[in-house]
Amino acid sequence: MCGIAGILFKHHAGPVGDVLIKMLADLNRRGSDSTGVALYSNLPVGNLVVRIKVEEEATEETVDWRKLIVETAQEYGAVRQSERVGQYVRLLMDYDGEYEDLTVALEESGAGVEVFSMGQRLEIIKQMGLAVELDATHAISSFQGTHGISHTRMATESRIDISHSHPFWARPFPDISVVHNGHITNYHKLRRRLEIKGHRFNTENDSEVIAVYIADKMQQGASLDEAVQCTIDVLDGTFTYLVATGDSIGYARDQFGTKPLVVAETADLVAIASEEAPLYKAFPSGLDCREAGAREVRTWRLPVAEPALATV
Amino acid sequence: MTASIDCAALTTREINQAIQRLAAEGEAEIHLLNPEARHSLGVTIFSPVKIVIEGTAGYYCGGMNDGATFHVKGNVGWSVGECMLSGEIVVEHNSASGTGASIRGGTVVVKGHAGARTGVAQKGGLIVVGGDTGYMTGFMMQQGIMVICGDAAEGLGDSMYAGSIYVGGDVNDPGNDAVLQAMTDEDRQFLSETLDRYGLSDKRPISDFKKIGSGGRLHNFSKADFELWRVAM
Repeated sequence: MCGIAGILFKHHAGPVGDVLIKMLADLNRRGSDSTGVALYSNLPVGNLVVRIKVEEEATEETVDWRKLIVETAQEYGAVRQSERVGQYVRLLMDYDGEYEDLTVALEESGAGVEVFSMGQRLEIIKQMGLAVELDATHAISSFQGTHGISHTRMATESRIDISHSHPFWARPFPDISVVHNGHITNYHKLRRRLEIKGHRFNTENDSEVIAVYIADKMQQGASLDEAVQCTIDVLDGTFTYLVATGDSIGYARDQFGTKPLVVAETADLVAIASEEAPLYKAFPSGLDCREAGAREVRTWRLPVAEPALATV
Repeated sequence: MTASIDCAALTTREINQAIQRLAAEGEAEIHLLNPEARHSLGVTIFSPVKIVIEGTAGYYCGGMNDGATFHVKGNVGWSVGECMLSGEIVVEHNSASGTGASIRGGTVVVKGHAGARTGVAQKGGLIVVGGDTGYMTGFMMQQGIMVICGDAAEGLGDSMYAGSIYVGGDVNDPGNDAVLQAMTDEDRQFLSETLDRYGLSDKRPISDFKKIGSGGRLHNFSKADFELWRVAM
């Protein structure tokens, strides 16, 4: 199955983390292998935030991450903040170079090191187990931001580990993330095409190809809406996915409407989830919602005048 | 007599067992409070009891119903009334995919919009939708009647064997072998009475309705219809 959920506050930063964790706790019914979020907010310092996995299973700090990660990053720009939480190192830094260069350098700094997200606004945090555990480790509930997407996984293919969990970052394109419910049957073909164009993949998970495909389209000049629209015909198999960029959120459903999705929109927010029940957990008085149709694509964008809304 | 069950503190199994117990004790009407889109509410109820869901139900609401009357004040999720034999389910707002899937009898009314595959493999009974209906509505329908006041998405009535689908709005892309049939005075009389009964008369004038049925070309294989079969399969 898998569960997906997203939230966008249209006019001001809001409790993105709290809303997503409440929805995910219910969506763990649809998948409990792993839980993850892609959160978007403004940075207090620096122009780049990087989330890096340093160990697959880390309860104690066995890796000298300051030496591995921070010293490597310092060669590329000033590291303004660094911290280690769970399996992750989080860096806030100044960087104006190519994202792929920094990504490769960080990943080559040590065995098992993997950059999970990079951007001006995006932070991907994912972990094995349930939403309540993710929240306990990373205090997701206290996160304030403009928007976010999230996922609970019931793995049907590819490994069950933190790397193969959702959300996926559209490496090396900043701020683009995807969560997916379904199965992309032409994954290998699409991946080969994108690899020939020079894109790199970190996992064997079919969902990663959606993120990279959309980012590739946008790099060629397509808007998010146009890129997502293309996926309806390019992707084969079953899919309902959510995509987010630094200032937008969107969804697409496959031609048969195989995987569920309900959408609620008010004057202030857009809330999206696999089922209606999780919406009740985050918004107890309920939201007026409707099931998305087959082949349906919708995207929302934050007001252009305020791409960088202040965090509360 | 009227009873109420607060779903908030109970498991789904406890809720459904409470419904069956109250119905056996002779309650005429049971209200479910705080349903919060929970799945499988009121499945396999075989008593002529009235169940009022004070909010939104999740998947399979009223599934396999035989004789009970449901009134859902909010939305329902997938497959409301799936495999119903008899009874009635009225939903005030929207429903999701598989609305009234495979019902053999009884009535499912959705006053708002219904999702994809509404009335898939319908084998009898009546499905009424006040708004639009989704992709492949009436796919492989075998018997019964469907009334759609709004528009029908692509694939309406694809590969249907028999039965009738009345559509008040647009049918832009009917499914394989779904054909337009002539409306009779009896059809109009039936529509008028049905919409009136569920307070849907203002949704669409009766004169707008079209009737869709099976063209019969998929009942028996014919080489001349090979292309149609190829697409249908």
